[in-house]
Amino acid sequence: MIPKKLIIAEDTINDIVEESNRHENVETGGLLFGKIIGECIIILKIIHSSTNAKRTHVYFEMDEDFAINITKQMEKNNLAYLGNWHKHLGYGGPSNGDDKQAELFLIQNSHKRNYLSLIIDFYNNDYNLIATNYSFDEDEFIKKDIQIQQIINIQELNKIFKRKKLNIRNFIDNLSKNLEDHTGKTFIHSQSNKSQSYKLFYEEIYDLQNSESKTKNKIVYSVFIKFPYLNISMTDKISIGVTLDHKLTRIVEEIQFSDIFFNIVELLPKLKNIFDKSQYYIKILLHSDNKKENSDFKNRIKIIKVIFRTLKSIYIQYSFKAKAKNVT
Amino acid sequence: MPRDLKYVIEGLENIKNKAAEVVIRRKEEDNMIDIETRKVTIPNIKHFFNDS
Repeated sequence: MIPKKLIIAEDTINDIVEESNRHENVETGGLLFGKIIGECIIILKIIHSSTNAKRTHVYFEMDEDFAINITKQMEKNNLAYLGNWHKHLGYGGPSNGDDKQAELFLIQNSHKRNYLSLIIDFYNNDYNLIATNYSFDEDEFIKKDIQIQQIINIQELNKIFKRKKLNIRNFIDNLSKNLEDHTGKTFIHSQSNKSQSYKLFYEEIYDLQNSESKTKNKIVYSVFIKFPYLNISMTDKISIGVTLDHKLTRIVEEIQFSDIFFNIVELLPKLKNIFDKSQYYIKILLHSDNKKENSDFKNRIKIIKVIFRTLKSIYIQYSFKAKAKNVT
Repeated sequence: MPRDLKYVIEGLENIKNKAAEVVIRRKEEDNMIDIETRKVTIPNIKHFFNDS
């Protein structure tokens, strides 16, 4: 599907204008990162070029090492490289040189389907934004201007994508790679046939030194992230939590899917925290387990008492009837 | 050529061209080594007025 619309926040545009004004009478620019959902390209992060960039009134070149390192870093955080923004000094949209570079980019990066060019063209103290998407349809190189939808802030994305369902298999694969980079632990994927839910989890075996559990010394502690379906909507909730010995579960937090889809960076420290606080969660779960056992025991006693009372009353009634019979 | 070998060669080509990075993991359970190559995007860095 070829993207037809660019979604960009007002703050981001203001940032581009400010950066352009900092470099008077020369071209400048930067890298664009975000997501592509169906026909929409969403800019979630922009990085301006470093001081090492070459800037003239018809030419602009970023520092290669800087650009590659930033792109690696962003892609690790699940933000795709979308393309570049750059400034023109009153000569409109993409030049022949820009078109050639876009084509070269798509040839060199065969895993990318699109390249976005966002040009801010300054003329008479005013500016115009021009968004162009480049792609390949088999061997044909396609260049197309796309509509720009300005939003006030990122939170507005929830409204735009409220009813849209996404297949998140790729997202989960990327998330597990991210988790591994961040926590050093390899998460296991599992899908439930019954409930259609999908889970990423990591298990660790703990020795209980102070004999928290009287029956055994070792306990399996697992941290999980559960998605209700693989076809998820932005407003669906995912849960993160812990499980003890595959049976006692505690949901630590429920998060709206859009919050991690547009920014998984905030999720990673939360999960690391759950690993760091493993002893705390083990204690809580074992305590609730003991409580459960206690209440089960109390219930059993109650039932036995009721049965005993019933039997006693039947016995009394029977013996009373028997006595009455003997009298007659 | 076996398909697995084709992937290995493609991976090495990508590393040579700096278009991939390598992640090496030693699995504790069977002491095997996993080598995974991840595609890296090489961003466009040049903007010029004409293509000459």
